[in-house]
Amino acid sequence: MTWSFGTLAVVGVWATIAGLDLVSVLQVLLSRPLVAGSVAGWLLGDVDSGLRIGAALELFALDVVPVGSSRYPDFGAATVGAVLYGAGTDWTATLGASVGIGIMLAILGGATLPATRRLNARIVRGYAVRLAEGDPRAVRAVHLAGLTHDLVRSAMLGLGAVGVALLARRWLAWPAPMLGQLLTAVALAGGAWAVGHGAAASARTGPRWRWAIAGLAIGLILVGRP
Amino acid sequence: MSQVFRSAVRLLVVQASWTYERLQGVGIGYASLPLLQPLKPDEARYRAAVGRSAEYFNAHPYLAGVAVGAAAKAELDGVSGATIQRLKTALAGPLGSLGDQFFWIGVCPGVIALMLIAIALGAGFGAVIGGMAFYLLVRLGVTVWGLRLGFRSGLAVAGALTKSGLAEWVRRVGLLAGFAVGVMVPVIARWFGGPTDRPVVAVAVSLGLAGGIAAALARFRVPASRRLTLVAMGGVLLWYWSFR
Repeated sequence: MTWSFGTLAVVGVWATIAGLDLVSVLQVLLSRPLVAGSVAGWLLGDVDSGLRIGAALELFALDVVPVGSSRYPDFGAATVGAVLYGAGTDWTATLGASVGIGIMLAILGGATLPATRRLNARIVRGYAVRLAEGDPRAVRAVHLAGLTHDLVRSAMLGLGAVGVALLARRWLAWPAPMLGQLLTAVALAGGAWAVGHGAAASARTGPRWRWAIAGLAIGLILVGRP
Repeated sequence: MSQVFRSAVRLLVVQASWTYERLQGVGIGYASLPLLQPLKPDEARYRAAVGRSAEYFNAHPYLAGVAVGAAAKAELDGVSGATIQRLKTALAGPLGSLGDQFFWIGVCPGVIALMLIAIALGAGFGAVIGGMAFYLLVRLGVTVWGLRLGFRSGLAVAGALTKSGLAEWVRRVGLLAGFAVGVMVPVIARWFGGPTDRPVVAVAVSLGLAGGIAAALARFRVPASRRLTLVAMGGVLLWYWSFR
């Protein structure tokens, strides 16, 4: 499966939008792996790969609570890169490798957030006197500078994710079926670990825990049906 | 375009200038500017209000509008600067805690779990579009609701927030999210099992789920699932290449 430069450019733009959604703009699930991945799959003409890779990475994202100054991975562009790597292949053999690439890119992407915030802080310090004096133009200038920093960060991550995925397709190819299925099993075990950890950490004991167990029981009944 | 609407639009980018020193402070100031316009004829009062609005502040981004509206109303009412600062300090913690529980631990995982269930049951890409549209409506609705509640209430915002029943909604949504995530796990595991329902997937998911729950309940200090997975993948690759 190959794509035109135009398609890859649109995918890069989508990765940038997903990066902006993480913190700066809207925050309406566009940066979540499930959404970022399925839209990327749709753009690349393989919705099923986008849904499966996005869903697998989403399991890991469910263990992340993006609170204030905590450090968290950036799954947006990372998932787009993972889908670009795995699109058009047999997912049973390539899902694990795609998830591995996605997790690595997400960790690297998350490391760019503190750098952007430190850059914002330098701008704030430069405008400190005018901000203290209540100059509305200074407020606008600092805020728009922050927005620009995140736009540049997201665009670089999007470009990087597309580049890494294309290089991986070209040079690493895809794992052999047996190895691929092992990696897929490891990825799904890791995703299940993340969901279990996230659910237990947020519920601990009490009513939420009981509702989760009740849901699990109903889910098992659902899948047990022929 | 009304001042409240312009402020609501700016609240959609409230975290763009986030820093470790002021946190959301400058973003709050940027969103407050349209609401402070009526003070412009009195330059000194306007500048003092703008300066206060951009000081240190943090809350959940979706509920930050409550503080923006309440502080702006207090400024227009001529409340003293010290009182407005105390109001913002008092609002920051509850708005952060309620928002985190309602959205990051409630609505967000709940909607995602429902989307995953729908996908596994065959809804495909439509489930993603539907879930995203629903979440967008909730996000925009809460932002506008919070801003209007704050701007209507001013210093009385704490009472208005209590009367709104948000805390009860936080509890209900948390329970529903827990239920949805519970249903999602076996359904999505079956979907990943593929047409042959490979047992290796069921075993992997069961082991992973049990390990994650045990680690959380026992409060083991283990690396995040992402790093554990990468390490396990590295081990599989080493094993495969050494025996090939």
